Amino acid sequence: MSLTGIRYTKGFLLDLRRRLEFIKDAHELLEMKRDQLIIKLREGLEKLKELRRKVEGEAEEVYRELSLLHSTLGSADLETYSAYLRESMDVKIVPRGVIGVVTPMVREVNIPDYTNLYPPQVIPLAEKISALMKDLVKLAELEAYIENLAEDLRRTNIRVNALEKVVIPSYEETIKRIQDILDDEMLEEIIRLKLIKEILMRRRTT
Amino acid sequence: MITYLICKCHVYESKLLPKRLILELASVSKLEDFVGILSATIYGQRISEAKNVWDVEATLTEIFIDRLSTLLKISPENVKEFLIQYYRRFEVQNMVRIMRMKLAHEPIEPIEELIIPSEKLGGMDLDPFMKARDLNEFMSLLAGTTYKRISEMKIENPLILESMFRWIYYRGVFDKVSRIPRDDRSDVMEILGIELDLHNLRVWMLPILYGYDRKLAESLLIDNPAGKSKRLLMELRSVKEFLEEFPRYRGFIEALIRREEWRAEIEYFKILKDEVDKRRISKYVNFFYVLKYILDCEVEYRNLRSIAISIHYNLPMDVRRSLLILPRV
Repeated sequence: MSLTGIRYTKGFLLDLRRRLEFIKDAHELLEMKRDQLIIKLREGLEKLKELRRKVEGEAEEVYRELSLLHSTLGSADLETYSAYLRESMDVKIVPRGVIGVVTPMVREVNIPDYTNLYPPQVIPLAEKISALMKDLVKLAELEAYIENLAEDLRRTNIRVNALEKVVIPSYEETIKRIQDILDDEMLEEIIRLKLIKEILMRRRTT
Repeated sequence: MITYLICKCHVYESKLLPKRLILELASVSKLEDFVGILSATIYGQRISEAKNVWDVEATLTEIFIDRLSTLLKISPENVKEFLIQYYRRFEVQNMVRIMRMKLAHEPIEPIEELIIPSEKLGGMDLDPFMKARDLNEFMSLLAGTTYKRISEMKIENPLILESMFRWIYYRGVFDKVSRIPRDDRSDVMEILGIELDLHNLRVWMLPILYGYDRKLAESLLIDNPAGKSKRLLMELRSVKEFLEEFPRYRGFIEALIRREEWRAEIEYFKILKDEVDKRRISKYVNFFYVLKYILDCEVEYRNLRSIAISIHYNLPMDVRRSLLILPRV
């Protein structure tokens, strides 16, 4: 990347140095953010692994209970039991920020209550499905959190790399070039002054 | 005439599938094999046309109902009266299913698929109930039937309505016991009493196991003139007391405690089957044998249905076998 509108002046050099300072601070901050994101992501992935294992176990248990109940009661009864549930599941989602990453948070999960409603035959199945649904919502929340975190990590990484490999070197290079040119100019000026001094001295002696 | 019915039941009984074949069916891995084996039996042509588990289930139900309806054709008038009332349990099952579907505002087509052909068993025409626009119309249609009392009830909790259907059924069947030979009445009463005991037990354990309201459970209990009274049952408050009061239902109670409702369902039929089988020799030429045949038909129907569905779910062989209602050794 090359900077445009470069002026080879002391003022511009000072401005560039100030900007470089700011960019380096930003780079440091982004690096810290990246490290934090990695830590959070690792924690999230650990939780995800655990929760996914739990949900898979619960889903297997629900499937087992359903297949056993279906086998013993037949299709007709099993199909009609669900009619008693008049409410439907309700989930309230609010956004929350984690190190600047906006991610959905499930504030409330309302699983319809089946107590005093279902015939005894299906209560254990209803209990298991209810627990599974709650954990599925948690899993979805965690997956969204991890996805958003990973996406932000990717973007932060791109920024850190861009600053580290392109922006900062180009600024440093420009600063060096301006500095060199200014040094050359200063040297020329000194030489010029010296020459003038010598000419003046020579005139005085003649 | 009743002797003819009993003799016919012995003949029909010989056509029931032997335990060996049921176990063989439970060990096949594909539904096609299951249908193939069953096609070579009395189920023959009808089952061979079944393409999937739902077809198998429907065919098994049809064959089961046909078996029961055959008995009506050869029964003397008094016994027929009892049998029609006894068979109303399938009508009650239908009514409960229709009621649930009406509650869920389901159209008529899916309801039709769930209905057992109980009309063949002397039951009433269920078409108007299936066609009812909503639950209120369904309830008002009940006014002109045996279930009149339900039409006068408020729909607070459908479980109470279900229980009322059963209450009316059992009251009717206990009334009709007088239509069967005197020698068999006490045995038939006892079997009906066991059915009600198990139903009431399950209901009265709801508050203990699942935190159901005690008042609701109380209203779901059904009077049992041939078993434990409601009052006695309501005095029981702990699992220990249940086990002490009903030692012969231990398997059923333990399944409920473990929250294995599916196992409780199997235990329910095992207990009934054991009780009926116990009287097998002494009641060899009695009407009771007809009742035993009816229960055997239902057990076979449930076993075959259970095998078909468990094959569909690809359940392991040992689990499949544990779902069978087989007499205890």
